Amino acid sequence: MDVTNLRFLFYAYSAAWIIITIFVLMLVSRGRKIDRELARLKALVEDKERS
Amino acid sequence: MREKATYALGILGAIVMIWNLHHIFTQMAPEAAQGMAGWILFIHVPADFMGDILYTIALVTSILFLVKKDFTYDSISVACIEVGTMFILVNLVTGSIWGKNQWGIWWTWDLRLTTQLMKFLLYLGYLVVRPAIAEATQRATMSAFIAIFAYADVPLVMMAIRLPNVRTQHPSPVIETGGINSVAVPFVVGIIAQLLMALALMLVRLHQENTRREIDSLRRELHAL
Repeated sequence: MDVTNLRFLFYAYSAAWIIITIFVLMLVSRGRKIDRELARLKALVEDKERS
Repeated sequence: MREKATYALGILGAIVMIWNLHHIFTQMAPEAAQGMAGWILFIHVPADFMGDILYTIALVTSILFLVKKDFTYDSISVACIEVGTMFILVNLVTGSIWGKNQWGIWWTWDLRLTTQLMKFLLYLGYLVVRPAIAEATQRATMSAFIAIFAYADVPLVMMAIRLPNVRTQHPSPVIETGGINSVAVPFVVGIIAQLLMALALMLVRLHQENTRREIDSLRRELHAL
């Protein structure tokens, strides 16, 4: 098989996968932060309602 | 159920993308002039398609938000724009790598490339401005206006390689130049793979936006107590 410019194909697909992976990791990290904040606020509201 | 569907869509998208790469390597001959770099097309073009589809949905939902004041439309808009901007970044980066190989340069201020960069920056602006507005209704209204304004660039990018009397280095679309038959399978499969991934990412982002609204209402409740 003619492998001319295989290097550039590799760069392009790697770059695409890296961007998608970074985006997914950012989403996961943000999701965790939001869930923590939600749990904290729920606990605060419950505490206030009890007192 | 929602989580399972999200994982299933994301994993399926990744599998389809890997299958497509396998199909390209085993079934296709490298492009005569470009060699294997020509196959960058199968990730570069679908990424732009995905971005434009998501931006179009965001345009419609932004208008619907302004008309109906329903925050569900705002959530869909921000999810579409965030995921769409990621796809446009993939398009810009893979295009730049292709350009370095074919033209010998990473970037040129060609009409098509410049308008595409403008599109990316306009929607990036949306994502930067949005969290800076604290009040929910004001934030959603301002975001809707920016999304509508930013969409003006989408047809400009499409026209940049079709307008007469415009000199551009960017190749003409394969669909319009009759070259689609030879690349139809990997091209369509590439779009399906990215569509599945976009759906999975949209579901995650929508859930986050709904949780964020719940946080806002809890904060208001706390303030009132």
